Amino acid sequence: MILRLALLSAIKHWRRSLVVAGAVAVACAVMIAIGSLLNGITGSFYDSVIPNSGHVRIEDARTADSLNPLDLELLLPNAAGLVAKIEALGDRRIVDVEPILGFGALLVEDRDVTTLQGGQDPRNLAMRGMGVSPDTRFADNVRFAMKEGSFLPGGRGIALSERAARLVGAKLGTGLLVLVQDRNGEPWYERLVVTGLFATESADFDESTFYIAEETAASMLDAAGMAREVRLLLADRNDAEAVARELAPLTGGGGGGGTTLRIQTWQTINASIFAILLFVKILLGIIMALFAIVSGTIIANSSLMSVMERIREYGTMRAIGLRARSLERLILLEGLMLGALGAALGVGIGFIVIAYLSRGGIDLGGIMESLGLSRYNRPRGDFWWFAFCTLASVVVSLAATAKAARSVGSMGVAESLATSS
Amino acid sequence: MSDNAGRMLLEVRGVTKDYRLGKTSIHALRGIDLSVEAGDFVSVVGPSGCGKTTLLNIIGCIDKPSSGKIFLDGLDVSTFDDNGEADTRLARIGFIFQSFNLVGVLDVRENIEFPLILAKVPKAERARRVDRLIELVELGEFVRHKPDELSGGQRQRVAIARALVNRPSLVIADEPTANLDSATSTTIMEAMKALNEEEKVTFIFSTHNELIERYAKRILLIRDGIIIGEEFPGEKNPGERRRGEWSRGSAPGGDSGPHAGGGAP
Repeated sequence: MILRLALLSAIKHWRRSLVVAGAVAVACAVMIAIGSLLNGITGSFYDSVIPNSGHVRIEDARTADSLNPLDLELLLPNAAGLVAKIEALGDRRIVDVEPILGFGALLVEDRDVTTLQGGQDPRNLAMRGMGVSPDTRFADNVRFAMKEGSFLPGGRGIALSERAARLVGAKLGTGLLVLVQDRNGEPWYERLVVTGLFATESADFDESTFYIAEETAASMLDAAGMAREVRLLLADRNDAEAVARELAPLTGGGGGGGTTLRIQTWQTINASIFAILLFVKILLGIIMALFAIVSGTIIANSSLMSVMERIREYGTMRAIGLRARSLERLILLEGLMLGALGAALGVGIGFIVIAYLSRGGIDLGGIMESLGLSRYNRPRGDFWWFAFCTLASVVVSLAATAKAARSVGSMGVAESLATSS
Repeated sequence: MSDNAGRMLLEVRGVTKDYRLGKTSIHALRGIDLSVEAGDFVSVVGPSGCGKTTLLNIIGCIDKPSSGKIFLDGLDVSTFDDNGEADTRLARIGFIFQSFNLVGVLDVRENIEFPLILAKVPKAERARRVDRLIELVELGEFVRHKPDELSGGQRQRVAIARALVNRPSLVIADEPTANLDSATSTTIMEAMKALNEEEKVTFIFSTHNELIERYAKRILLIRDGIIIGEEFPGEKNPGERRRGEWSRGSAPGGDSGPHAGGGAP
């Protein structure tokens, strides 16, 4: 009957019950939504940025201080040899190792100049070229964002974004001139056919990066066997520091030509992103804590009001023989039921909100793009986060109700009975 | 309900109750001595604020005396802690309140059954006792009604049934007819009287109403926190048994002292 009594009391005072359950539901849904948003940001970071940038990266030590990160002076002279040495280790933790040849280039519209009207130049765009293996695993963000054609089929052609193609007047199958300055300072150009058009969710990336086969790039730059960096993909990213330590002896002369190499892990490569993510986490954590405090206060006040309205009834129960502790348990049981109801509602609302936002994503704009992430954040639901939010909501509700229960429990029976309500 | 009428059920020895109201001390009870035998039907009468409710609350273990002793069934209940008091109320005392004090969300049957559930009485026994009391207070048609669907008299009969269901040694009724019309008041008092005579239930009730107090076998007059006299209406020469000369209009000898505090604090 105690359970029934708690249930009936909650129903009878349905307005206050609704306020309490509503406050719990809103708090729970907000916690779920914010947590899932954060989970979406970090998930997107771990899923795309880290694999694309590599878990371990070896590059010229001077790169960090160079004003021009695409300076050909910073190429690793014997990248191919370094890759061979790493592969010879047979380390099962290393899933893939690849030399990446990044360079600066000017993409120029391939057009008969006689068709141009007076004073008009062919359209051009300064971009960063990436010379990669056609089956590279360090360009999955592009490979899975192909809109037309495919990614360097048979090592041929050029893959660029739809946006960049539009800017230089290129289409799938049309030619495009790629102008570079080779290692000797000589200008060089190559006419490449557009074999793939992609559109990632980062406009910054799309406007700045194109891909060609590493072989083609090396030929154009006169940099056979060289690379801007050597990237490693690991089976478990947590092994990055250990692998980096073990690779250190190999890099002594691995770069060749007396170059000093620097080995970076994904943590150091993305240190600035981590700092921003930490800031975002703290900010969202504060928002969640504020919501919990506000909701807790609303719940506590509503519970207190609800309980105070019934103080005479509780006094009667105690006069009949209900112990103070049992009365507190009765009130807590009501709080528990309302907390559970609110949490269930909150989970439902949170689930719907996440499902809706996951479709198109939330446009977080340039801040996310500056981190190398998609501007569209898709919240990711996580079972354990849902479970935590449910539990936390019920606990907050119980804690808020406990205050009211304690107030009534500590009140004398005669005092309770004399209270007009 | 009591089956050994005549034994000493309740003894109140030198009970005082003081309240602090800011810097003022209010003496609600100023030394009460009282004995009640099992099967008695006692009325406590006196003007508002004389300490009737305070006395009943202290006897009923819902308030603590500032000093003095209360023995119920030979147990010194004035030394009990909160749980001991709650258990005593549950097992030995039944309450009937002026404003019925039923649990609004429970129906008639559940209200009556509630103390039995607290006392962990088995279900079958609960059903048997509740059925009998529903029959006794003639509420068979209303068992599934909520308190707000009942008249004042019906509610008070539910309260009586609830007070009796755990077979208490003592039933305390604080102005049980104050919120009822005279006809219903008579019905309620007849019911209580019948329970006292037939079931030997011991009642102590307070009232303002001179007609109601005449149902009692014994009347205690309380004024300014002390018992100033008692009367036995059923006896031939009730005046000879008075403790002192008293009238309803004034305290004896004008020795009223500071006015006692309100009913319950």
